[in-house]
Amino acid sequence: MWRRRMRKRWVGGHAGRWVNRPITHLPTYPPTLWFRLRSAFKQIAGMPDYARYLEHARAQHPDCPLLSEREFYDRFISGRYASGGSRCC
Amino acid sequence: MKRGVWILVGLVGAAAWGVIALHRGESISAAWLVLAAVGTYLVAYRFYARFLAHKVLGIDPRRATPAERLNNGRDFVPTTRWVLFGHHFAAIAGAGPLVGPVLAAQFGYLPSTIWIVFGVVLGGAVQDFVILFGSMRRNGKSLGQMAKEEIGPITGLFAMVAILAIMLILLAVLALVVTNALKDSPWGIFSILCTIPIALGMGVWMRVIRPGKTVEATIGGLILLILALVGGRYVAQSPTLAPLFSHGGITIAWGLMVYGFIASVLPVWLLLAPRDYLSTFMKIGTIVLLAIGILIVLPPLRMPPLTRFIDGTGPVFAGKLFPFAFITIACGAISGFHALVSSGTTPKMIRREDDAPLIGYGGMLMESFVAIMALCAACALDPGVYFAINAPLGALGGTVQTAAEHIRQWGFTVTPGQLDALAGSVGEATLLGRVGGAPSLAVGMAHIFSGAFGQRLMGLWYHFAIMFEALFILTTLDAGTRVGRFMLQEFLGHLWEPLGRTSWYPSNLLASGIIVAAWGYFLVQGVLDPLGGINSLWPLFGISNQLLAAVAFCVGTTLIIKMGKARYAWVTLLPLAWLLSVTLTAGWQKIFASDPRLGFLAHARDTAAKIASGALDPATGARLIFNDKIDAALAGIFMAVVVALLLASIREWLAVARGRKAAVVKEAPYVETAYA
Repeated sequence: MWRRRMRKRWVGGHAGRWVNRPITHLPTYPPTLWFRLRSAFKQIAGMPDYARYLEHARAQHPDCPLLSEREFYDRFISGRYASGGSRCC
Repeated sequence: MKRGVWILVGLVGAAAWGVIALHRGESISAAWLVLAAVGTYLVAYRFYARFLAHKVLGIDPRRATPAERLNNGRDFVPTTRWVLFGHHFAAIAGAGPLVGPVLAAQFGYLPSTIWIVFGVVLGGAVQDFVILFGSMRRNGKSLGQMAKEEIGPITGLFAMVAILAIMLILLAVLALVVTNALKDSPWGIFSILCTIPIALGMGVWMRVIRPGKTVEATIGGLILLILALVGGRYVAQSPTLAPLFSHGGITIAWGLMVYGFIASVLPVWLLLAPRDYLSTFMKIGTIVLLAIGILIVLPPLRMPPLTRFIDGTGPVFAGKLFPFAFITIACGAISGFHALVSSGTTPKMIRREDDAPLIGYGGMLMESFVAIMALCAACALDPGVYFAINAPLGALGGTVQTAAEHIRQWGFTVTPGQLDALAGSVGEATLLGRVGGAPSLAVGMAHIFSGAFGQRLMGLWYHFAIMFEALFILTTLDAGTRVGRFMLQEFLGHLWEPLGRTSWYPSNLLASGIIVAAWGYFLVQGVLDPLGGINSLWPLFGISNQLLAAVAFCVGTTLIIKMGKARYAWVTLLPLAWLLSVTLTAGWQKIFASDPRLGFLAHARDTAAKIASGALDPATGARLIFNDKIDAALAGIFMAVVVALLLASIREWLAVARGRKAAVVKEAPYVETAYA
C-alpha cells in the first residue's frame, strides 16, 4: 500500500511529454476511513482539502516550495469564486 | 439474473404509472409517485444514458480527462465518481426544483409528475450530460465559449447577454420568494438575520483564527444555526422583541438589496464561502431528511390529479396547462442553468470519461427526484390550505373568512378555524397569500417531518424549512450578483479600460450597484404587484431558463453533428423542438394574450382603462403600465435572442450536412489515461 507504483504519464498539457511519475491517484496518506470520509465531505461541499493538496504537491512538484495552509486556503477560495461561483437556481 | 432485475424494475415502475393513471376518486399514496419516478429513472439510466454514452457521444474510458492531464491540485483535481456526483448535485440543486413543482401543483399532481419524470429522462438529463461531455472534451470550457467556438462569435455574445438577463430575473424572483416567506414573520426574520453574523464568524475562524479548518467551522456554524432557529420562537412570543423583527414586504425587499450589495463587494472568504458551506450542508441534510420523512409517512395526496385550473383561471399563476405547466417547472425537468454548472467546475474534476454518465445524467435524475418530493409535500396538503397560502391576497380578501369563502367558490373546502389553527401551530400570525411556493412547501415539509419525527415540533419544522430555503437563496443572491458584476465589468471594460478591472474598488462598487438596482427594481415591483408578483416574474424566469436550455441544446446538437453523429442528432433536437414550442408559445401569450391576468400588454390596457374610470390613482397606474411594458419587452428580447441563436445554429448544421464545412470538433487532443 505504501510502495509507490510508477507509470508513464502525460505531463504539461498541450505541449507536454511522457514522464515516468508515481501513480498519484492511489492514496499515499493513511487510507483510514476517517481520513477518506473527511476528504469526501470536503470535496462534496467544494471546500479546500489541504491534505490532498500536500499529497499532490509532493508527488508532482517535489522541487517547488509548499504553500502554507493559509496560502492554500486563499488561493483555493479566490479560484473557486473567481467568476462568482457557479450554482443553480 | 441481471436481466431479471431490470425486467422487475421496469415492471414495478410501469405498475406504479398504471396505478397513478387509472386511479380516480379517492386519494392515492405518495408512494406511487415515488415508485413510478424511481423505476423510470433506473430504466432510463441503465438503457438511455448508456445509449447516449456509447452510441451518440462515444465515451472513451482510455482517454485522459482534463482533471488528469492538467491536475493542479486545486480546480483540476481527479475526483472519485460518487464524491463528484455529490458535489455536482449540490451545485445544481437549489430553490428551483422545490418552488416550481409547488406552484404547478395548482393543476393537480398528474401533469407535473409526468413532466418532471419524462422531461428529465428525455430532456434535462440529456442536456446536462451532453454539455458536461462537451466541456470535458474541451478542458472545461464554458457554455458561452463553446457556443462561440462551435457555432460562431456572434452566438457567444448573444449567449452572454441572455445569461445576464436570465440571472437578473432569477435573482429578483428568488428574492421575492424570500420576501413573501418572511414578511411580518419575526421568527423567520430573526433566524435569517442570525445567519449573517454566524457566517461572518465562520469566515474569520476559517481564515484568521484556524486557517483552513473548514469542517470544524461548518459544524460550529450548523449548531449556532439551530440555536438561532430555537431562539426565533422566543423572539416571536416576546411582546417587546417581536415588533423589532416584524417588517413588511417593502422593508424586507430593501434589506435584501442592501445585503446583496454589501455581500457582493466583501471578500469571498468573509461571507460567501462560509455561507456556501452552510447552505450546502443544510441543503443535502434537508433533502435526505425529506426523503426519509416521505418514505416513513407515505402521505396520501389530497390534491386531485387534475384541477379545474388547467383552463387557465388558476389563482396561483394565470395560463393554461400547456404551455405554463412546462415553464413553471423548469428546474427538476429541464433547467438551462445546469448547462452553466455542467460547463463550470464539474468537467474539471472528472477522473475518467466513463464517470460522466453517472455525474451528468444521474445527477440530474437526482434533482428531478427532489422535484417529485417537493410535489408530494405540496400535494399532501389539503387543497384548500394550499390555495389559501399560494393565492395572492387580492384574490382571497384580507381575512380567513373571505379566504374560506373564495376557496369554497373554487370548489375546495377549508374552514376559517382550520386556517387560524394552522398559522398558530407554525408560529405565524397568518399564512394567507404567502405566494412564492416556499411557505406552502414549508408547511408541507413540516407536516411530513412532524409526522415522521414527532408531532409537537410543527412550528420548529416550518421555520427550519423556511430557513433552509432562505439560506441558499441568500447565497444565490450574493453569488449571482457577483457573476452579474463580473460580466458587466467585462463589458464596461470595453468602454473605459479601468472599469473592467475587478481589482479596482470603485469599479466593483459601481458594477455591483447597477446589478443590484436591476434585480431590485423587479423585486420591488413584484412586492407592490396586486397580483402577487410571482404571477408575472415566475413565468418570465421559467421562459428565460428554458430558453437558456434551448441554447444548450443548440450547442449540444452542433457538437453531435460535428462529431459525425448526425444520425443521432434527434436526442437533442427532439427536446429542443419541444422547448421551443413551449417557451415561444408561453412568451407570445405573456406578451399578447387578451386576458389581463395573463398578457402584459392586456394588463397595461386594463390598467389604463381603470385610470380613465377613476378606479385607480394615476401614479400607481402609470407605474404598473410601465412595469408591464418592461416585462413584455424582456419576454420579447428573450424570444428574439433564442430565434437568432437557433437560426445561426441551423446555418452551421446545414453547412456541415451539405459538406461545405468539415465535420470537425475543437476538442483537446487525445491522450491515453493512466487510470486504467
